[in-house]
Amino acid sequence: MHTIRPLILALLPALALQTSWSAAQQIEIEDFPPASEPRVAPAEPKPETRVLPSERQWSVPDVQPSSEGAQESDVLLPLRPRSPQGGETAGHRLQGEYPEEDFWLFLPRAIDGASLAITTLSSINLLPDRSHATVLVNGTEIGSVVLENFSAAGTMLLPVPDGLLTAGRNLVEVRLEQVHRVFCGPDASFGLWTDIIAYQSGITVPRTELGLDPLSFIAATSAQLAQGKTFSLASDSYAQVLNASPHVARIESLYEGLPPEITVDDYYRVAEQSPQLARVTALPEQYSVPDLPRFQRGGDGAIVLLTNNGQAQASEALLARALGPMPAGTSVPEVVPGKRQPLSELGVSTLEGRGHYIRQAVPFRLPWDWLVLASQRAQLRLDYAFVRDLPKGALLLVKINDETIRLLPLDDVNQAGRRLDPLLIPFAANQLQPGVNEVSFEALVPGEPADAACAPQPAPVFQIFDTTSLTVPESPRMVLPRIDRSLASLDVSRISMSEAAQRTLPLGMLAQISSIYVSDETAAAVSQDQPPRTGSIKIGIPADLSMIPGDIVSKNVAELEEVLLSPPTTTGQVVDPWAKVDSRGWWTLFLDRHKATDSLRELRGKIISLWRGPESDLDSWLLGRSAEAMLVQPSMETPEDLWLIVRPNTDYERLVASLVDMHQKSEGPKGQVSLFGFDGTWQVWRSASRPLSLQEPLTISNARAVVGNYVTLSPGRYIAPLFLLAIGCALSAMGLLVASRRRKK
Amino acid sequence: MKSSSSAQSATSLLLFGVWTVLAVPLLFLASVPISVSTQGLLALVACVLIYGLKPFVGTRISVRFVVMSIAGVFVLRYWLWRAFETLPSLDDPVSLIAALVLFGAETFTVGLFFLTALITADPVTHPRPEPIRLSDVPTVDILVPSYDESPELLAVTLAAAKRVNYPEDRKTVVLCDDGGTDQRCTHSDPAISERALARRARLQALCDELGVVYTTRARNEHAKAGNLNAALQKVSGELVLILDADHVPTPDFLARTVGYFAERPRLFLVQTPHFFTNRDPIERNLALPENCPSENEMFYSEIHRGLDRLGGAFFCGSAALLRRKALDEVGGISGETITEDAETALDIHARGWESLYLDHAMIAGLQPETFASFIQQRGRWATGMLQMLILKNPIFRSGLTMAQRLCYLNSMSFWLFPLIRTIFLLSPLLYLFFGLEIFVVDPEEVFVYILPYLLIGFMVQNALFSEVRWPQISEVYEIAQTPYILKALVETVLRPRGASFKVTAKDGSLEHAFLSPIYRPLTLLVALLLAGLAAGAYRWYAFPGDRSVVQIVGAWALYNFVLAAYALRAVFERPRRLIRPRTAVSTPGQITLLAPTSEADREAQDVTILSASPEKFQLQLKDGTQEAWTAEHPGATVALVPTLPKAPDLETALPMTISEVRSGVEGTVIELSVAPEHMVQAAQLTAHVVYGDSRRWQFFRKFHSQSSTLVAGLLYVLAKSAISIPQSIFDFARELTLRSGRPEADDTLFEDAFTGATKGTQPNPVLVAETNVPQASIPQADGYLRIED
Repeated sequence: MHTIRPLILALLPALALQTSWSAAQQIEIEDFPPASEPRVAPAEPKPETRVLPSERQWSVPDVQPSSEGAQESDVLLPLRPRSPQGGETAGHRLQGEYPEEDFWLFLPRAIDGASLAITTLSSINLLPDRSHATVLVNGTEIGSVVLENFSAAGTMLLPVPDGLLTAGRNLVEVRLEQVHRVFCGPDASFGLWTDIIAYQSGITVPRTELGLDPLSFIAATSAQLAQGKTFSLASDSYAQVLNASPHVARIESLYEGLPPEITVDDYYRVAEQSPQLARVTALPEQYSVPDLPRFQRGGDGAIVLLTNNGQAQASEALLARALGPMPAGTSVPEVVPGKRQPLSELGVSTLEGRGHYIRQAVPFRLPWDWLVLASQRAQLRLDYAFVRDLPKGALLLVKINDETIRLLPLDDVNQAGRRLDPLLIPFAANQLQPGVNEVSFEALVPGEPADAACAPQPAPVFQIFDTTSLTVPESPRMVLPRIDRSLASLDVSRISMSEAAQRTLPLGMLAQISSIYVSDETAAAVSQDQPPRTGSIKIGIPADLSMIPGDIVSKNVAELEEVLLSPPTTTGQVVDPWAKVDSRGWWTLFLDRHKATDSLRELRGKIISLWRGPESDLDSWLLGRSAEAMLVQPSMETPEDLWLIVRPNTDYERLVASLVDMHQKSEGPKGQVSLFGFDGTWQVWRSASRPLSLQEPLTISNARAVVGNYVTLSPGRYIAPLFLLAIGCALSAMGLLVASRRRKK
Repeated sequence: MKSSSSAQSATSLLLFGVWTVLAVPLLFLASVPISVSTQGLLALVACVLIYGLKPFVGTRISVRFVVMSIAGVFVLRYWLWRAFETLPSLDDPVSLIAALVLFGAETFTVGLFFLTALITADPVTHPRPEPIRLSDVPTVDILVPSYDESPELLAVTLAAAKRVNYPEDRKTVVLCDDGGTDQRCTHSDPAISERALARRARLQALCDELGVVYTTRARNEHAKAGNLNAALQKVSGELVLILDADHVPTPDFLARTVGYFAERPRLFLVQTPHFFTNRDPIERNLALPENCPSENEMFYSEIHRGLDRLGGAFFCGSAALLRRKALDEVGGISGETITEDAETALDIHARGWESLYLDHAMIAGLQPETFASFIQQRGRWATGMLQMLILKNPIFRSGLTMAQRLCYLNSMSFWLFPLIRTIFLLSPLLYLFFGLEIFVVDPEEVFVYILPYLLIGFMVQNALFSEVRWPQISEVYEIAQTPYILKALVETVLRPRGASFKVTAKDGSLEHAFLSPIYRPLTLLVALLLAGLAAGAYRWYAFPGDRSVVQIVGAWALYNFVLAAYALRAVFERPRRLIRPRTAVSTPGQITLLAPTSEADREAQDVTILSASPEKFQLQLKDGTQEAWTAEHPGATVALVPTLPKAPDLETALPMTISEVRSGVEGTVIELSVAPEHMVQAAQLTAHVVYGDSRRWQFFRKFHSQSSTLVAGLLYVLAKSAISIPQSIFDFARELTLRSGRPEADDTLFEDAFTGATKGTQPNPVLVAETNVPQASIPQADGYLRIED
């Protein structure tokens, strides 16, 4: 065995937004084992993937410093939003009067004497004198930023007290107070927004601070991602990349927020692109270096995580160890059915709502095998208070999964200003679902006056005390096929791409999607109701539809394709916070022709749905719809197998962000077909023939609830036997009567 | 024969097994929680089925069973839903208690629904009994208990009893006078003793004249039961016919009933319906149309026939024939409660005797004339029934069949309606006034559970009782009685043995309009309901978040108010004459002036008797005779000779004095008054011409009354309620302003009973001409007791 010192040329991957040939780099590695059969093959140029900008992306930062400059200049270690919105490089939008957002700031080491840059761009509607952002670092307030950048983004530096910034993860909280300069009220609050330009916000450190260690690597990649660049993974084998995607996914999950976009590139390709801050290079299969993975400096100054092929697991462990465990409290709390659980027990402290349109939500999770379709009731025991002197018409909507269950007036002077007696709000338990649910408190406070800037209101409009509790009825362990449940049962190693998709979509998408479900996988150990990890997703493109087995797709291939290929349709409706609050009585039906027409249509729909069931046929449901992507559960027999069909050339960053959101929100793909629309929301179709399965023995105690769930799905199977039995009873009773008549005679 | 019986038993057992096998899964399915949409579909299907089958319920028993079965399933499902889904949680104990009270009331009504379904499943119509040889007919004692009724009233009853077709040697009519007892005759109060002595003497004379046995006793103990028992000790007939003092029998009573006793040796009771010649005060004050069935018709036309089917026909105090042997077995008429009739029947049923109900009215009586006396009567019934429920609960009484237990339970528990109605009336107010959550329900559930439940209840009630009860009239009656009888119920629960028997005054007559002295409780109730609506309006305005609940509860409160506002009319006593008097007759006769002043006056004039009573008669001159009879005759004495070919014994001259002569387009009508010395003769004539044919009562019961559809009935009550609100406000205002002077009656004098002349009644109705009226039953020449039509 002899030692050689080969030069390994790693190809720089293309930028996510503009793929181009980039400059070559060199990495020197000692004790590099000889290749048995060195194989040098020129890389084929990958097809250019052009990403459509989302609605909110109006510019992409032009940050392509020269290689020389890059090595010498300072590096901005940026903020990384914890709740992804997609299109992160454009800015993270915070809307409303008192929005808040948490960001991660990854630092290679504890830094003293630094200043935190906050770059903002705000709506012209903001009244600068009274609009500002308060910034906290690791729980300590470090200052306030005036929101006065209306025409162009502006940066303000806030000195960070020494000792506050630590190595690794740092939590930066940004709390905004935004005041409309002309109007006041719920409608006005929708016109208030500020974009935190995350990639231009953060701590600037000399590049030399980024050493060859895991934390520096993470900080560097974070900075690189924030700038809209991809995370480069160089390998000579696409197959190996695909195989390694579970481990790559776990690495991605360390970053939280939007999973890093990975560009998989050929190991032997010379890339002509701007220098990078960090990347991963996997040695070709034929090489094996004993002490890998380790960090090396790339020719362009980038921190290169060098790893042997097929040893992604070691890299994952290395980085995870350095970053430490995720802070607690990020997962959605689980409500135990049959038990009254106060918010405090769910880890939620007293909620305070400020402003004129307020939405405070508490997500919670129900077991995946919890299922109530019938009329059982759950109950919210609301412990609340609201401030005095609120304008007339102020109200609070209590919602479950965005459906109002109670409307509470906030303008009652007799009740204002004190903690009220607990209010019991029963609601239909079938408004809840297995998985993530949400109880939300939405307040609408009219402006007084509505045509002037709001007067300062120091006290919160309402408080929902942490003694507020939720009681969810128990249910038999039952399961209905649904996409979100299948997603929760995903085996990350079973996420794959179809051949057509491999040719069309970026390979990094695989790891990106996988990383979303890594956290679920880790949660599996503690959750008893967790479905077995047998789920799979195959990522495909519309051309794959015809090859997908299962009734749901095979009968509707053309319609499904049309949905993905038809031009975008958006409703373009203006948000109307009062839309669902109709304080007028039902008798106004007779006065308002439109309302009467709508009500009649609604009634007709309800009557029709009585006979047909609430679920329509897929083909008719798909009519007139368009989507960027769709999640499909093609077969009820194998509900754990899903397909994610992505429209080519789409901005899948928003798709990914939406899927990440599923962990915290009740909205998202469900049912059997879920369309990801151009407005970033999911439209769900549920099959009428979903098989219901009982996961426990049928007993006397659970029989009613079990049958209740079954018959709710198919009313005909309930009503027909019921009446047949009734008629049977009637006839036998009549027989008894006739017999008794004879006896009397 | 034996093998046939065992085969029938096996068949019954098999059918019961099948029923059980089907009922168990049915019960389970009915308890299953389902979604609102599924329930909506169920409600829709059930309502459509019941509505479609409703017209055939009365005629086809199979349809009746199917409809009741479907309705039963829905009602059961509703109740289970209420139990499982709609009660507030333990977090709010005050609301929970209120909700449980309401749920208890609903449970009661649901139970009553199923009992009613059972009882009305197969009402019995008995064929006529076989004729009995006259020599074999049993001896019958006709007992007429009396306390303070007038001799005129008693005279008619006793005269009619004497005219009941039955061999004279086998029949004894006995007046059981409790108003002339030794105790009363020797009362320390001289006024009482004087009255009692005079009464005793007068009634003894009356009985002598009529050939009736007069009895009285030493002490007034155990009220009516004691009175009858005292009389029973003095008679020994095999059968006993008991008649209230105002219950005038028709001659065919025994002919239609005695035969059943011969056919069924274990039969102890044949009960017949009570028919009333006047309208009850609620019916009258509410101005219900004359073709609206009387309140008691539901019981006598449907319920009692159903009770009979289950072996639970019971004694209603009068118009019933009882076997003496059975009475003796239980020591005579029972007297532990103040409803001695039902109590006696219960005691005898418990010894294995059978009863029978014959749906053919053969007595005509009087309803209480005023709302106050009506309430007193109903209070007594309610108290007595509750006493029985407490002291002689049929569920735990040995000797009864299960069906009989349920029959008695149904009859007794019906009288808990004031409590139930109070809960239904006040429950919405608990929310409207205090915000108590009495019912956890979503607006959608109201449409798929509550409204269909109510609708099905209405439809079933209408289907079963359309001929005998208009929709919502029961509710109005119950509300009108609720605030009064509730007090009696509470007192009975507190002191079950403390109640005393109070005789209902019946022979008064309403001379003018006035506000009932007991108007306050009902008025307060209506005011409270109105205040509830005002509170609802305030809550609607003040609590926008509660508007869906306010709508639901407000609708409920409005429904209550609509019924209560109409029921309030009951306290405004108004004489209203009947367009078609039930006692109107058309009997030919002749009158002759006893002291003629001219030759023309000597001639007998042909007349038609329009009305008759022991005190007054009303005649119409035949065409062509008006000229001779003018206003100059008032004060003259005439002799009336009725033309009664089938009762020649009554074709004797009855002297009377002309009190008024009226001439009009319909001819000349003469009012005549009867001198006291001729009262008995007049009573005998009255008994024959007015009360001589039971088919007259059947006509009013079965043909004159009209049925009503559900929609028409609901609209009728709604409209009447809407009109009644301003009427009541006006009447109250008038009452307050005219306290010193009584308001004028809004109608002319109402007299419909035989205790007074039918002054002012329309002379037009001619139901059955006397000449065409065959004697219902007379001892036949062939020696058999037969019923002849």
